[in-house]
Amino acid sequence: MSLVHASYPTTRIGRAASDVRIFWRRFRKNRGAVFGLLVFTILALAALFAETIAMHSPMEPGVGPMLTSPSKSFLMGTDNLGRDIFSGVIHGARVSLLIGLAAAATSAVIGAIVGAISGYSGGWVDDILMRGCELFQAMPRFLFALVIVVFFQNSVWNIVIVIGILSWPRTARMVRAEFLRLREMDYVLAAKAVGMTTRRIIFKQMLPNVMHIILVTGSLEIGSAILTEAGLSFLGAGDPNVMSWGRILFNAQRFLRRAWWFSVFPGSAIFLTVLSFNLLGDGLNDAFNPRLKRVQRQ
Amino acid sequence: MRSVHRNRWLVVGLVVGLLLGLVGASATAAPVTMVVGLSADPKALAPTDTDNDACPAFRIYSALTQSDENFGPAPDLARSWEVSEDSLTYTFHLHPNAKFHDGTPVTSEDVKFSILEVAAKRVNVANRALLPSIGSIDTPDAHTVVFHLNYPNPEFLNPYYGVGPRPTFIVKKADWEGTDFFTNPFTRSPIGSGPYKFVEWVKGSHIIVERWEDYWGEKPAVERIVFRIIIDPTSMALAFENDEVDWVPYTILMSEVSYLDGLPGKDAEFHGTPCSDSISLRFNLRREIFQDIAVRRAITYAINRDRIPDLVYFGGGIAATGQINRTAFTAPWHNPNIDQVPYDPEMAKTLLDAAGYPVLGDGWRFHITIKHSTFFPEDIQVAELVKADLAKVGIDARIVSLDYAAWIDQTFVNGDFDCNLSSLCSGPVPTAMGRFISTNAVPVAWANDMAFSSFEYDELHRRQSSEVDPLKRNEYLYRMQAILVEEQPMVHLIHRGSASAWNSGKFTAEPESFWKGGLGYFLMRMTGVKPV
Amino acid sequence: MPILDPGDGRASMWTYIVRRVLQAIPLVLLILIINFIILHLAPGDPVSFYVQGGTGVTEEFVAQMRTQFGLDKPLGVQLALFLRNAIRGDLGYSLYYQQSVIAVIGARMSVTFLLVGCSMAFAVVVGITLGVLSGRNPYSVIDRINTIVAVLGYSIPVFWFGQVLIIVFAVYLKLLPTGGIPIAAIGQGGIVAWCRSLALPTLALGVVQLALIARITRANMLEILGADYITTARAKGVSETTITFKHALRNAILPVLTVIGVDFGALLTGAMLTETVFNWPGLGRMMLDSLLRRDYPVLMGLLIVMSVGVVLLNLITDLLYAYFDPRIVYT
Repeated sequence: MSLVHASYPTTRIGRAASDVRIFWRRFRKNRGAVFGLLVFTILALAALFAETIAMHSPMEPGVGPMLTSPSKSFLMGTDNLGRDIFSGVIHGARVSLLIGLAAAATSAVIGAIVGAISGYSGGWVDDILMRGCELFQAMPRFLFALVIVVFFQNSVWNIVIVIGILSWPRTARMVRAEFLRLREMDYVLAAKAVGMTTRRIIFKQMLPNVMHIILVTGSLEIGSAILTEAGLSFLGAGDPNVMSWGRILFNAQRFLRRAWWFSVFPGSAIFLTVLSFNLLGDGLNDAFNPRLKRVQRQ
Repeated sequence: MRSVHRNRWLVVGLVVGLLLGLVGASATAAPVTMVVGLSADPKALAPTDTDNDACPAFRIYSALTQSDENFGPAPDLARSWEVSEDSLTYTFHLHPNAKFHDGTPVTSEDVKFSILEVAAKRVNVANRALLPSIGSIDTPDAHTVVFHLNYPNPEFLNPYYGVGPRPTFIVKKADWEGTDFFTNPFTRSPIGSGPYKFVEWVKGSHIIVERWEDYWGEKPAVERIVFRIIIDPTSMALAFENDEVDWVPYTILMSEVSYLDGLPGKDAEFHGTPCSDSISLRFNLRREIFQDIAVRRAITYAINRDRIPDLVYFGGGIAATGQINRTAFTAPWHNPNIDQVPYDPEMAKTLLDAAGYPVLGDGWRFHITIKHSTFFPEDIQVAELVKADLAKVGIDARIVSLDYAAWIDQTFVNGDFDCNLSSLCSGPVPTAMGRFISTNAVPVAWANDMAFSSFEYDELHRRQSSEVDPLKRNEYLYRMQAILVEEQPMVHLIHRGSASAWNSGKFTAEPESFWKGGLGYFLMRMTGVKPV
Repeated sequence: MPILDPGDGRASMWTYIVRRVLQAIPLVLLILIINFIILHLAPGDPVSFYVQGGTGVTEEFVAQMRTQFGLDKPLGVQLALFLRNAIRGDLGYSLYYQQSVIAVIGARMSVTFLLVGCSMAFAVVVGITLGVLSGRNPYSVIDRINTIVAVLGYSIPVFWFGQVLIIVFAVYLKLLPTGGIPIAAIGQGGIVAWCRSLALPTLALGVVQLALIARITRANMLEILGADYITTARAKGVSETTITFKHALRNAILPVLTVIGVDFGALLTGAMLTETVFNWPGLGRMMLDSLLRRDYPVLMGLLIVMSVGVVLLNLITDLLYAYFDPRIVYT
């Protein structure tokens, strides 16, 4: 049996397109992952077109009577200051997505660089960087973020930076593990023999091959970042100038009995979003590494 | 096989016995117990502490006076007293049988020590009013205390600001003399002379006091009080609804008041807080932009104060017309004749344009920050409403939420702020107006953060703090309130109310102002509280 | 990290333990130093909180309190003093609680331990059960449930789940209390009351761990049940039950231990949020309260307890790992 299909493309672009098609076929089979992708698309649309979809400004008090249940004019009811919760949830999508993406991107960049250098160099450089990794992992991320945000300032940017800086170890470890493996590969040895600088080898040759790992850990990190930000806002440490989902839950705490919609809608939004990113990440993971999916029927 | 059966029945018998034992244990007669809900632990049960939570402490300690239902002085440790003609000498006669919980008698030496040494260590407004006025204290015999004042002090007999429960609990001199007040074990296991004895305190959970059977005064009917500490206001409301708490003084969720009041056997009501402060938006007069009174005026026009009490406090509060609240404790000193600045956003815009702050390219006239403390949970909502109002007239106000320590640091100590949303509570006596005198513009907590300075105001304050004639005193106080509105160093937003809840199905209170007016929380004995 | 090496065995376990402990000490120290510095860099300090409550705080009083608590010394000196005292077992004195930090933490520790312990037990028992059952019967109903629980549990915000549980079970169904713990002194107590108070918080806190454990157990079970030695055992006629419990389970448990160890920090965070929602007077909530009160001694004490706890737990799980898997040796 020939290992190469008769119509296997020969050009680089052709091969890439074929890879994508194969990848998509695998991905499509995972229903959870497709659901995740769907939710993500809806969120992105909501974030982009928030002003059009939401009828009121999320921060505007008194657009409706306070604490009314969901109705035609206020799809998700109003909060205790008479603000439209639906608008809050829609705009909150933008906030959460931004924070999640920014924080995940920060941690991905830091993690990738650290992991690459650590994995490639080995020796004492690796040792030191891995100790640093352990240090950051031993510090409870949420508590540390809380300390920083409470003591310094609760602006959105502080939150993003703090989450990003505290989350890189996971990506770093995965990238490092892969680099340890790739380091011995022929094309790397060849590049070294030819005299390419370390920097070029790492960035041009090896990193592109770990992109899928970064992507997977990145999408899982987004969910994690969104949960962390929601937790911070829930405790009151979030940015009061921005209406995020966690912030709405913070306001809702006192009204659990009176206004179930105040807590149910934003909470479900957080839940669904994190769920979708987790499913997406899992789906990507499975689609990239089908050989790991070994399931036996009995 | 038979042994297995026997074992099985043994086990069944044990289980049944255990269950019966559990049921039986909970069915023994319990003393008449009232559960009071507190929203935070008191810092300590020692009079050396700042006295936010007088409620548990006042059950354990006595003071010279307690409060009657009109907020005037009634006898407590002092059975009677005389005032000299010139109001400079007060003579108190102590109850001859007054004892401490360990049996030793309460003497005038204890009173003198408690006021001059212990109360002096506490730093709050009460001491500001009381202590400087006391020149010396004489103790001619064990049951007589004579105060010689430096100047006539109109608040001397006031139970809140004078020799009453809040500032001056009486402790046993022998227990405290010569010790370090912070590490003295009596801060956590207090010995007082009040009707209840301290039993135990589990921080974060509860404080228990029991009726002292040898109490020298009128013994209350409630035999045991459990102060349950429930920090989350929703949990507190639910606990009250489920009969787990009988009395919630001051901290019942205002959004739940009408619902709880409607339940059978339960009462909940709004009432004023004993605060002479308004919740106000204060301008940092060190900043150039706020030195222009037109800007300050414009901001006042822009804010819709009337909707704040309903939206934030569910009706438990009123829009402020000046510094001093026109309801509850502070009504006698309220000036009803101050010209008000109405809500008029168009006027605000006109004023701002004329002052030289037109709307710029980015859609805003200028950017400021509003700093507030997370210690007072409703402040953030007031800030959000203000922010929205200012946005409508083109001012971008960024809210900065700070924890208490950082807030004090940035606003009072360092003067680093644009607008300070402050809801400090200074006690129901106008001596607190003294905060705004120019000599108080110092980097110390709770002082004059705005750096407001008016010679007329300073002079008036000096006069009113030693004026015993209430009519004349009000002349000065009225003018002071008017100055604060005319000069506009701050925008008086609202006077916040509070709400309390009472389990009327289990207990009655005589007079009702014990719980409805908040008097019983701080200042009245539990003698009027009886089980139903 | 232990590595696989057929042969040698436990002779070097003690050296491993000693080495791990020695490695952990500088880590804990470094965490403490970093946190100490950050705490003190922040604006405001414990004294400004403590004196709130009235106007007219005199400057001398504030200065006096600062001196009394050593807050006027330079940062390095404060740090050195703190470390020196900590080694002696004196973690400082809390302004707010008016007690030594150790007493304060000790009083709350049991509450948090109870909550965390019950949640872990719940997560482990239910998680492993689900994982084993679905590993044995992939694509069955149990397996579907397991997958759903695993994914949902990992994505749900702990505090919101707690709120929802309160709304459903305490507000609407009125079956369970809304929060708090039974107070012994007023006659509340007994197993029943504690179980009722524990039910919702345990569920809220445990669900995340449950998800992880169920998922990993399932994956491991599947992999192991497909291995050669299992097939051999089946061929030899060993019963399915014996296979599951004697052979497969032992190996499937190992990664679960690692999960418990690694995730402990997240568990503490979850404990803080859960204690806030359910109003439990434990270490978690005390962390938040101390943060807002700038109670540095208590905060540092908590950080010590947590760091040491995490390190200890990791060590214990590694040891258990070794016990269960004799192939592992320590270098």
